[in-house]
Amino acid sequence: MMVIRSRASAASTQSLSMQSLRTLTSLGACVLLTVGCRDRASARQEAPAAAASASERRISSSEAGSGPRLVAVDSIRLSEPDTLFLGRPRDLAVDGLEGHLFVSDSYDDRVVEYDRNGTPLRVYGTRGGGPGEFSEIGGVFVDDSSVYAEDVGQRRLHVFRRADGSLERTVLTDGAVGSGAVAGGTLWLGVMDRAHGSAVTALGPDGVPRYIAPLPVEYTTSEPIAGIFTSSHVLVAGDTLVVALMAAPTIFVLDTSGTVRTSLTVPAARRRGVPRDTVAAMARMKFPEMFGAVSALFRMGLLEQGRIGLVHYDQSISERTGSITAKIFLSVVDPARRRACIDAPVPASPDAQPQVAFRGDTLFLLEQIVDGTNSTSVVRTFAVETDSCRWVEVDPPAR
Amino acid sequence: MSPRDLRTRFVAPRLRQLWRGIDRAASAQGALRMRSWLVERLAARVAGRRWRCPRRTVPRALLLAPIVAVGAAACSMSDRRQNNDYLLNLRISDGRLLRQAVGGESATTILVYDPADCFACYGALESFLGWRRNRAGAVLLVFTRLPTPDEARALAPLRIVPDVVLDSTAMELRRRTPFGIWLRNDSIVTVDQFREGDIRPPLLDSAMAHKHAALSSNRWMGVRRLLHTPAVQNVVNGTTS
Repeated sequence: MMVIRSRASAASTQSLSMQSLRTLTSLGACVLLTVGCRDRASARQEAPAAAASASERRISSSEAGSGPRLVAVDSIRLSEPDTLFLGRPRDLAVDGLEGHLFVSDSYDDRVVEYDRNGTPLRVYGTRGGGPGEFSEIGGVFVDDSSVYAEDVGQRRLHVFRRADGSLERTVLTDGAVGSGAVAGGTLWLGVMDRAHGSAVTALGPDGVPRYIAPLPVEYTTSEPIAGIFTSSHVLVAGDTLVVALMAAPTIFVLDTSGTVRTSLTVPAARRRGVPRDTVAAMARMKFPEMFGAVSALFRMGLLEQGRIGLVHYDQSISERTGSITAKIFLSVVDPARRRACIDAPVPASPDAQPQVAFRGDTLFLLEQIVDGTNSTSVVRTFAVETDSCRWVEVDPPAR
Repeated sequence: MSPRDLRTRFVAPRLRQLWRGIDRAASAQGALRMRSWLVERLAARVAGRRWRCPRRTVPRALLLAPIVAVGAAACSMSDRRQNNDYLLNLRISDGRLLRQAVGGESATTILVYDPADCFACYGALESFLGWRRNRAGAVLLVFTRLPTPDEARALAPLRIVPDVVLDSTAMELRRRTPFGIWLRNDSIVTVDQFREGDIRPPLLDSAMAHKHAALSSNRWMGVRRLLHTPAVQNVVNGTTS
């Protein structure tokens, strides 16, 4: 019996070990599959699926009202000595603490910091290809301690210390930086990156990039849209990101992991807007026409009470002279109540090639005023008021 | 065996074989095809077939005329380039000659631009204009024509104001701009067309005391040659008043 039992137990042990081997094998297979699936899942996370854009609703000017009111507050003439003038301002940033102005100038490839009276205080960077140098300067943004300026030519972002103007570090980017922000120890860059299918690159303290925020479908399917209207804008407020592409009608609200919470499509009244089927429309156009086919989002700012300011440019190229003119429109979006006050014309000269920036509820407008052979750079400030707004509903995302 | 037979039996097959080899090599490398009408013509002649113009109706003279014209133009252009003195005799908008607009500096740089040129592309202009601010007469900015209102509007923020504007007889120069003329004691030392890219102006760097960069640079040969002339050495060493 004992033998039999032992044989039986041996057999059962054998069958048990066989069973456990099978179990282990299948478990292993499951683990492998899970890991594989997880790998695929993380790959998906690296390349977010394209986001669906809704068609932009067009409403009449009377329905929209006059839009947010712009109340002129100040006019600052920037001091421009012969060795430190602004040849071709590329971008404007305003520091939230002291109200200093930062202008990136693509003629001399440098950033000039001005105080609130327009006196130049410091220059960041110079032309060149070395550390802290710009082969072609792009956008600029600032925080309390640093100035971030893009070198479009070399696809990198220089970070300068505001304390002494020295170079702190350089970050490589995967595309043109439309805007940026620093929050929670992370550098959030609005980069339209078709390779990763993302609109935002997040660089944490470890320096490893995370590609989040899906690109709108227009950007994944249309070469002209992705090629001409490259800027991606990002705002950070606590654990919320607001992301918008230059020529897409829909604004996306996400959490910091990149999950889309909601989207907002702001109707157009006075501005040109975005054609209903942009991709097909662009495919039929030639370049100068494409350039002027949509309202391009040039700036997005966080206003008081969690509202969002949007500045659209309706640009045109003169076929005769090649010069670019623009009409500018301001809209304010209240994401919490899903409403917007839209399309107030910004009083800028169409050929002044203005640059805009927000600081709280104040809009800054940099213009170059030319009189004969003399040119003056002036920053005008406007308070953005929404008391008399006729709010219109923003549209829900397309299904 | 007649010479014609010799060509047909021996030379032509070998030539064809050689040709096939060249053709195969060219397509294997994915390079541009090496066949040209000249080679074809030669092969056809050796093989005993008369080369014919692709369109028999086009007289050969018509084919040859552009070649002769281009050749003649090139020859006259090279003659003209060899003697650049005519540049100083160009008339400017106020009726004077360009050489009369040059100041009394021992070394002068004349920068010739068309108002439609890219003023930020060549890297050097802003530095030269900086030099002009410090040493009036050492740098002369010349426009080939008056800017249009749109161009004037674009140039104003860049603070690009020409010292002189050429009159309309200098139309042909518009194809050559931008270029620089370097003078020493009112004589042309060199004329150089600006090339797009990372051009540093060593002469200017020298004038601004970055001597090492100037002497080690060999990118702008015209300037380099000029750099070693006594007049410029005086500028480099700061001995010219």
